[in-house]
Amino acid sequence: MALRHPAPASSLDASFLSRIASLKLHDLRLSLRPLPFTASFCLPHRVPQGSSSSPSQPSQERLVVAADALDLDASAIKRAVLTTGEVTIFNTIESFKELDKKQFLHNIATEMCRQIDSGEVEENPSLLVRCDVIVFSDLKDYKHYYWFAFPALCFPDPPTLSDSILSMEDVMSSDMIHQLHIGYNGLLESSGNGIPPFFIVVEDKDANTVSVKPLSHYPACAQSGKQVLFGFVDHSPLQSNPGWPLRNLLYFLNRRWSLSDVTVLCYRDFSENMQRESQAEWHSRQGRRADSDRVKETLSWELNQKGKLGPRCADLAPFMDPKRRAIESA
Amino acid sequence: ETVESVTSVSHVSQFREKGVLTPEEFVAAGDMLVYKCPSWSWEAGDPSKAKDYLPKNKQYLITRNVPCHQRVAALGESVREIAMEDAEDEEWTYTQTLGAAKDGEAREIEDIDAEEEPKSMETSGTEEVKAPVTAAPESQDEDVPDLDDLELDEDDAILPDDPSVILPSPAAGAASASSGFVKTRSYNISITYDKYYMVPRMWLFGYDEDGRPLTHAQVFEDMSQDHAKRTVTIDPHPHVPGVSHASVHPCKHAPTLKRIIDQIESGDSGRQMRPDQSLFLFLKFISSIIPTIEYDFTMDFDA
Repeated sequence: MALRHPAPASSLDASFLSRIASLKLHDLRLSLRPLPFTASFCLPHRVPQGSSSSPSQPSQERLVVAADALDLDASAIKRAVLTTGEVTIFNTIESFKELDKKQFLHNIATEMCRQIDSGEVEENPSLLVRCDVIVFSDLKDYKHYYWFAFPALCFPDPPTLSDSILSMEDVMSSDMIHQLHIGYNGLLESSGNGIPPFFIVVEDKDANTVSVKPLSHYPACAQSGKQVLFGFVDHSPLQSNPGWPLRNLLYFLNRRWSLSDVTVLCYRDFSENMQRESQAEWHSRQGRRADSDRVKETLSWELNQKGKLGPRCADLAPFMDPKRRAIESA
Repeated sequence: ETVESVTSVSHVSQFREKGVLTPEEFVAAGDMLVYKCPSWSWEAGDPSKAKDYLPKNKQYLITRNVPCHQRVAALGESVREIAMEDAEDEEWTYTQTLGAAKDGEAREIEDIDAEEEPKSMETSGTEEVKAPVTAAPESQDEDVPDLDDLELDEDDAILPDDPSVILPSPAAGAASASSGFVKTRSYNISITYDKYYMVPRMWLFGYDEDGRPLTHAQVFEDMSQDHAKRTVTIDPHPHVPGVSHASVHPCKHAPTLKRIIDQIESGDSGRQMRPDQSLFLFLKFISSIIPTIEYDFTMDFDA
């Protein structure tokens, strides 16, 4: 069965766009230098019990770009899975339009492959969770055209699910699940750079123990002969489909460590007090090794509201402080 | 803002007496909210707008991307009432104590939330209470002809279909061919400390199903109409320069909080509400103003 992932959606804070516009006007001017920024996958919202509007269906996973997205220090303290990426601000709507969209993604893929091969990804796994955005801001009218890409490195054949999905309770004792939570929280506290999106879980069935370690510990743990699971923090709205970041993790594991059949733990419980039931699941995948050093395709640009490949437009004119408008137009 | 700048900050706790908070109590309550409900977090905001009576990195609280599946008008009047009772029965002690005190009816809560507050707002003559801005110019989608031109041509075929992606169903309540998840409106909700009224103040900024900012008129569709007309104003956010937000005006928050505190304490003698629990009370009563915005305020007073 093919492994499929719900598409994430972008969400740009109006305050971020307003900041970008001001930056373009005063600092960047005509420069097309891309600026690094961070976005965060929101923690899922718990619906208050008994709410009248309890959704029959969960809502789309959103990647939020906040006002402080360009301030890498500020976002480093957030309790969220952070993405890396760059925003490119164009000078004219024509240059925005004429950008070679395919080449743009190809360049990103090349860069990601370089980061995988150089070992940077093991040290900083959030490089695999990437989003990029191109923007053109019509400063006079407070209209912002923007287009997000969530680059996914793809195999020639899509990965498949080799087994049925199991819940944590089916494969781990409650004591081991507890150790998993403790271990993950330990990793969280030592990370200091958002929530670590990927990690490994080392299982010793004889001793009935589980430990959580950074991704970079995989080669050493694999040599010790213990069973290793690959964990990722999963914000997917769907019970039986893992979230988007798994795509690049699978590609990484294949390219870096030649792994083509792995067991993945979708970690879905990141509450502070660990009192809720864990919703983690098990997935595994079979697939061939990604051939040589080429990425077959890199996907994907976000679809616009009509479901087409096109940018979106945010019209901020109704929200701008009239006083400020007066000053800027003076 | 002028008034605020000349008001001195009080550090004397009057939470149980008046339903007000000192800045220190606001921070403690915010810490509790963030601890209990991890979808909330502290923000520093624009450094030039920072208030010196609050820690630099704890200027206000925010929760982002809060789903809002349906408009208030879609909740039929009867459905809405039942929903309110349900919510109250399930959740917390204040309903139970109220029940003990008042014939087990939820009517008293409606008094607080739906009638009394707006009524006293009317008579309060507070100048800050502005009429809701419904005249915010609707963004005219037809007025951006460029957008279509910016789409990639189909025959470019530069990007293949992605076999590994599942797209969301177009909207809540869509037909059965649904993918299992939907696009919804979403809100960023923030809570600032209002120095003049010494209470938390809520700010809303919404996005439509496709991530475009909601106009203020659209935001009013997600508010109980009684409140939208009387207690919601459009103002610049104190920590986000230049972008106006919808806000629930705080002039009656303190008496409302005070009343809820009294109800809880009178129904359970010996119980004393603590200031660090105040944001749960606040979020509870605000939820009757924005009943379809599904933010997180898990009640847990035994913590």
